[in-house]
Amino acid sequence: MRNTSPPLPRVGAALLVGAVLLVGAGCDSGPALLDPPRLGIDRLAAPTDLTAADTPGDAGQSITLSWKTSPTENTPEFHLREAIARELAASDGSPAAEARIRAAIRGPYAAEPRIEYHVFQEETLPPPSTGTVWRLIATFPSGVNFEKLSDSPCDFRETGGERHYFAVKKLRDGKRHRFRVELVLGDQRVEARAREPVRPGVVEAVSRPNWFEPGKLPLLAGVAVLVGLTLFFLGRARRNPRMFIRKIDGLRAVDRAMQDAARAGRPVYYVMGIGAMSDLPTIASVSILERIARQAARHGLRLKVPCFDPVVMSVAQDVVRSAFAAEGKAEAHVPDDVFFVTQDQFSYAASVDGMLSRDRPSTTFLLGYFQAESLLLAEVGASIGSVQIAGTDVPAQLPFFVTTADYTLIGEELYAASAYLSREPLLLGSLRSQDVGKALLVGVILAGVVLASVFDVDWLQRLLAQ
Amino acid sequence: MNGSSTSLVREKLPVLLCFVTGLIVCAATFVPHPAVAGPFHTVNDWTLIISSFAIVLGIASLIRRHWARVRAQDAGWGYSAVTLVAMAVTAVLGVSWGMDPADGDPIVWIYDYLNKPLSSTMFALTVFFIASAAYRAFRVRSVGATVLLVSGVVVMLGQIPVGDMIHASVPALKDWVLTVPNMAAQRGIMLGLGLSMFATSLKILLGIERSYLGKSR
Repeated sequence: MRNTSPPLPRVGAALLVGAVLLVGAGCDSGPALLDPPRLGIDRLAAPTDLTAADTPGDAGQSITLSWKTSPTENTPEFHLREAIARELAASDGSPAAEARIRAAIRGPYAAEPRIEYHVFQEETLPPPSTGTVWRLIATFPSGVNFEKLSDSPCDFRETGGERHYFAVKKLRDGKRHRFRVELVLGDQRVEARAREPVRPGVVEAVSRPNWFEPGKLPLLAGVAVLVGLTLFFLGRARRNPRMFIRKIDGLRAVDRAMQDAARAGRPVYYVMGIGAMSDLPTIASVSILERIARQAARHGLRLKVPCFDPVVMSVAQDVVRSAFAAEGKAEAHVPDDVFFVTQDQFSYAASVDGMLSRDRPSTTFLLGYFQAESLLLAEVGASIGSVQIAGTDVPAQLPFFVTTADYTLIGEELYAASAYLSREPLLLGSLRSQDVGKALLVGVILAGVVLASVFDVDWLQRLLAQ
Repeated sequence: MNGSSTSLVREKLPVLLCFVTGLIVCAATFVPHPAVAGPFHTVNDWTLIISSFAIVLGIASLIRRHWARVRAQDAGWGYSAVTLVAMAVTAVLGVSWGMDPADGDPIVWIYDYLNKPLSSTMFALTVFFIASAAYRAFRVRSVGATVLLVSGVVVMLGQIPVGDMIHASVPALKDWVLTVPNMAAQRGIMLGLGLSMFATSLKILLGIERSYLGKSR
């Protein structure tokens, strides 16, 4: 919730409170030097335009109440009162601090309660009673910004307009719910006026689940454009399989690295990091593993895959077994070469480091999702002279791979690797769609920069921020 | 099982399952209605259940591999023996005494006084590895390595009081390196990544990329 009053009264109130406190701080005992003039609010002004409506774009069970801020919230008296309350809240809470603040701002309003909003919901009495009662479901100070309280049955929503929003949650869908709102100051209370009242000051609405979240429309439009682009280039790749794709050094080195390993007669290690099967870098890595396993089978190499996640291990076992079988080398496949190590990050790093030191593989692939163990693994690989081809989509780990590995697949190259190694037209077609997508994005960014910098127009910025 | 039913079970069914579950997850991003959100939560629950069962496969793999090495007395079989004994002891203590930190159970002691210090030791090694990696990277062999060296020195100096003592503009230069060229490169990588992830997801969803099933097209 947000106070939308002009800043001037707030500043004035803050200055006044600041001056009062400064004076008060200088006189711990004795009377305050400044007695601020009496600024009591004699009469509360009613908030207006109270409405109730189903909360849009949610899973149901929620109604949003909204009303225009009370004119009382925009008076200097209100801001002074709120500023004093804030000073009290921000103090260290000790009785001495409170006494100092109250003494410094001697005035009738210093001891008065804050202005609050009270929200009521009509409830039907359980049988055998009949009739309804108004239950107070929320109380909160006016003019204060609130964060969303997801665990609360009620929810405050921040707004930039001149209205307050309040979402009531955990309601029964399909049933009419009635509400009213009061502005309260001590004994004074005034009811919000409703735009379309069912009774004076009372609004009602029905909550229901929604089929679309309107705020995600720009995202949906972006997804539709990218899906269209990808499908278009997949279709084109089917018609025209010969497509130019830029060279990626790390992937061109795979063949040579595997041949070197075959000549050296040493195993190849394939490490997929600490991702789960639901992580996209792990999925990309599994796709590359299939191509590497085929090459290992062709060259008669042992391919060892130490796994961090049992699900990944299970998938990797199937992938390697199928790849050896597809190359007609099913008998060369050693099932236990794809194995589970541990699900503890540094235990995994220690274990794989030990294996690398003992087996001294000719080639090591570090492709997938890596965190702090990236350097621990890559540095040991470098120290034993293994040819290392590394890649991840975690930007923070890329510098470690760049400095330690012989070749690094940076970010998107990890996802391009499967298509690059297989040379399948359909997969290559998707690479072209990514390049066109990137060109589009660059165009949008440039347009946004020009609009914002030259024409002072920021709608594109706001649209993308959604 | 004949060829067509094998193909159905090993290829078509997984691709179909992947398509349906992927579609549910995508739809749940835009549709808050319980008709979509319900299946989405079910898919998530199944992911957790399958992961729990998979740990049994993982343990079986671990035991089989290390037991085979111990039995064959391969090179380094002692490490495998230590692994098996440690696993057995931890499992027995955990099952027998429980895992309540408040009760001071033995497994908590193992975690606090063995596992945690060993993990911290491994993590602490990173600093030495960073030093050796930095030494290799900072050797001035090319224009790129020189740029890396200069920007690395500027950032390191800007982080510490000595940088300000050398020249007042060093911390500002550090901030510029981090917020302009570094941020630009990172955002470029992130944008490319986003598009690649999108295309990869779509390929998997449509069954174009199915090497994760152990089958190329």
